[in-house]
Amino acid sequence: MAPLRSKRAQIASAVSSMAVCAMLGAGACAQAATLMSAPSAGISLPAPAISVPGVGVTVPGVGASVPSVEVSVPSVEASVPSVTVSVPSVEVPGVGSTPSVSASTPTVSASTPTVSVSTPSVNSSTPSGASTGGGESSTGARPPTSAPGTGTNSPTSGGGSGSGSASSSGAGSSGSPAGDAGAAAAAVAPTHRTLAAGAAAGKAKPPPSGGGRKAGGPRRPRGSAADKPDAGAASLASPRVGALRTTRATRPATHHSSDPLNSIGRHIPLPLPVPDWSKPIIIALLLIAIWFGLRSQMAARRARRLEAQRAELLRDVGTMQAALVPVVPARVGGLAVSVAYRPADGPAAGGDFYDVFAVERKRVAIILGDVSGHGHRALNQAALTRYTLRAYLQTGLEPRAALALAGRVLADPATEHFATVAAAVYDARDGRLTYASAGHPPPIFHGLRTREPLALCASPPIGWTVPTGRRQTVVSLPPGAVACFFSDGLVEARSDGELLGRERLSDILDTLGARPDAAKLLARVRAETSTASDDMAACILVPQAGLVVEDVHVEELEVDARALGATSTRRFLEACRLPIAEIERTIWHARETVAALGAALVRVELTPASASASVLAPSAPTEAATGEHHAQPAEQPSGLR
Amino acid sequence: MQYVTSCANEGYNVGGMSLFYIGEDRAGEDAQQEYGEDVVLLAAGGELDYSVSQQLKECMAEHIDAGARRVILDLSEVSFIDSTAIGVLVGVVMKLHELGGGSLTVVCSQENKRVLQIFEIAGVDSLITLQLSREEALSALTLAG
Repeated sequence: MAPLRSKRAQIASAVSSMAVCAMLGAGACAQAATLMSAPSAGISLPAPAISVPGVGVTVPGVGASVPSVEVSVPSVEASVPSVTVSVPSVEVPGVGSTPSVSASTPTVSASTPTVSVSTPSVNSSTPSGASTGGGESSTGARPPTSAPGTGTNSPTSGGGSGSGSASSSGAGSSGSPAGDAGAAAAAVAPTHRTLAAGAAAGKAKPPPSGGGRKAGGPRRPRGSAADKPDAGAASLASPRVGALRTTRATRPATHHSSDPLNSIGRHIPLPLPVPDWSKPIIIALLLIAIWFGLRSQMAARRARRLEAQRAELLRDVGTMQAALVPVVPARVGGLAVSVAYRPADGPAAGGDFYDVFAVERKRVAIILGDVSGHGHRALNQAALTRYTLRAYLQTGLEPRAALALAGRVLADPATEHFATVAAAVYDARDGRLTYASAGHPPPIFHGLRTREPLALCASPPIGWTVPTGRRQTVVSLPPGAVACFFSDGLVEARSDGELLGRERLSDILDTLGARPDAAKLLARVRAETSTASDDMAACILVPQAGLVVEDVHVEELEVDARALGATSTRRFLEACRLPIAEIERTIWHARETVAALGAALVRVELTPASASASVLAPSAPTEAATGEHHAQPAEQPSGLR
Repeated sequence: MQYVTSCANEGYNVGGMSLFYIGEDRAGEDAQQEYGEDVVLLAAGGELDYSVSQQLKECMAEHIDAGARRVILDLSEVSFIDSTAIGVLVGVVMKLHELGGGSLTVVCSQENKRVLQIFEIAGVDSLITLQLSREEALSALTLAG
C-alpha cells in the first residue's frame, strides 16, 4: 500500500511538475520532472534511473544489461525481501566501471541470470542463470527489455562484462533488431518502462498474480518477439515465471487506466518509443500549445475588433478629409485638374485644404490653403476657411475680394490659427487665370508667354486681424501652359536639412511632362527629400487645347495710406518695370484716390516689353462688401476686431 | 554665442532658434543712448518655425513688458522663418500698436534671399518695416521719431 501511495504521489508530482512546466520552459521541464518524481518514487526507482546513463557511457552493452537487473528488483523485492538489498549493491560497481562488474563476481551473479535468461539460446548454457534462485522471479519481469540490451552488449561484452553476459551476447546479437549505438538508446527506453512496471509490481505484491500482471502487461507489446524463447527459458529456470506469464496473458493491461503517464505512447499511439521522462514534457508542450492556441484565438478576436474600430475611424477621418481635400472633377470648365494630398510624416498631419469647383458655366474656382498649427482645431479652421472662400467665390467675387472679405470675417484674435490661401478663378472664355494669395506661396507657372508673375507685396494670411486680399494677378494660360498651386509643405520638405525650395519644385514639375500629375509631383518631392514634417497639397491646372488666348498679364495692388507711406508701393511699381516718371505719376494718383476713398487700386498691365499703370477706385465688389472698412484708413487694423 | 535661459538679459537659445539682445553690442548701446530707452535691438539666428514660435512670442513679450516699444529684430542670421513665426511678429506689432507708439522693424541683409522671399510672400510689409541693415533700421527710427 505504501509503495502504491508513493506511486500515486509520483504521478501527482509528475502532474504538478507538468503544471510547472506549462509555465516554465520546456528545457527546465525535464529537470523539474526528474527532481520532483525522484523523492516520491521511492529509493528503488531513482537509483536505477540514474545508473543507466552512467553505465551506458562507459560500456553501452553492460549499461543496457545492468538496468535490466535493476528492473527486476521490485519484483524480487516482492517475492524475496532479502534480495532487494543485494541488488543496489550490484548496480553500484556496475556504474562505477565495467571491469568491476566482472571483479565483484559474487554480487554480480545475482544479476547475471537475468541477462542469460533473456537470451533464448544462452540461458541453458549459462550455469549461473539456472543456479541463481533469487533471480527467478526477476526474469519474469525482465526478458523483453533484455533482448535489445544484449543486442548492444555484443560488441562490448568481450572487453567488459563477465562470462555470463559474454555468452548471452552472442545469441542476443542474432535476436536483437539493432546492434549499434542507436540500439543502446532504444534499450534505455524500454528499461525505463520496465522500471515503472516493476515498481508497480512490487507495490501491488499482496495479490501475487496481480504483481506479475502489472509487470508483464505494459511490456507485452514491445518484447513479444523475444517473449517466446524467453518464456521457454523462464520455464526452464523457474516454474514461477510460467505462472507470471499465464496471468499476464489472461489479464493484459489493467494498470493502464490508473497510470496516465504509462498510457502515453501505448493507448495514444506515438510513432516513436517514448521514454517515461519525456512524458511530462510532452504533456507540458501540449499544454503550452493549447495555451498558445487560446492566446492566438484571443489575439485574433482582438485584432478583428481593432480592425473594425480602425475601419470606423478611417471612415470618420475620410469624412473629415473630404471636408478639406475633396474629390474634384478631373475636367471642369475647360481645365484639366489634378490634385493630390499627402499628410505629414509626423504627428503634424492636417491643415492643408483645397477645392476646385465650377462657378457659373465657364469659370472654375480653385482654392488651396494651409492652416497654421495642427490638431482638430486646425482642421476646424481649415474647413471653415475653405467653405467661407468657396461661398464667396461662388457668389462671383474675384479672388482678391474673396480673400479680403474672408480675412475680415474670419479674423479672430481669440484663435491662434490663421490660414495661408491661394484663391483663383479660371475663365475658359478668354483663358485667363485670376489669382490672389493671402500669405501663401504663389503658383508656379510653366509655358506662359507673358512675364513671370510678381510675388511682390503679397497679402497677409487670413486670421491675422490685418487687411488681406490686396494683391491680385491676372495671367492668360495659353495651350500647353501649366499652373501649379501648392502648399509650403512641398518647398519646405528637407533633404539633409536643406529645404527643397521653389526653384527645385519648379524643376521637378518640369520633368513631369505636358500633363503633370499632382500625385506624381508629391511622390517625386517625397523621394527627393528625407523629411516632410508638414502636409503636402498640390493642384495642377492644364488648360484644354484649342483655345485661342490673347496674352494678358495684369498685376493689381490695393493701397492705403500706410502702404503708400512705406516703400512697398514704389518697389511694386519698380518691379513692374514702369518708367520712373510713370511710377511718380502713379503714386501721386494713388495718394489722391486714397485721400478721397481711403484706398486705391493700382493696376499695371504688363507686356514682355512694357508696362502701363492706372489708378482705380477699389474694385466694386470689394467696395460693396466692405465699404465701411475702406472708408476707414487701414491705419487702425486693431479696430477691425 | 552662449546658452542662457533668459532672453531679457543676454540671449535665448531653444530648438533651432537663438535670440540675442544686443545691449552690450556697440550698436545696441548706441541705439539706446541715441534713440531712447524704448529702443531694443535683437538678433535672431537659426530657424524660426512652428516649434519655437511660442518661445519667440514669450521672449518678445518679455522685452515689451520691460519697456521696449521700438523693436528692431535682426534676422540676417536666420536660415528659415515660417508663417507661424511671422504670425508671432505680427502679434508683436499688434501689441505695440495697442500700447501706442511702438513699431517693429525687421532687419534682413540682402544676402539672405530666403528670408526676404518668405517675408515677401507673407505679406506683412504694411505692418512690419523691412530694412536691409541695422544702420538703416536705426536711421529709419530717427526719421520716424
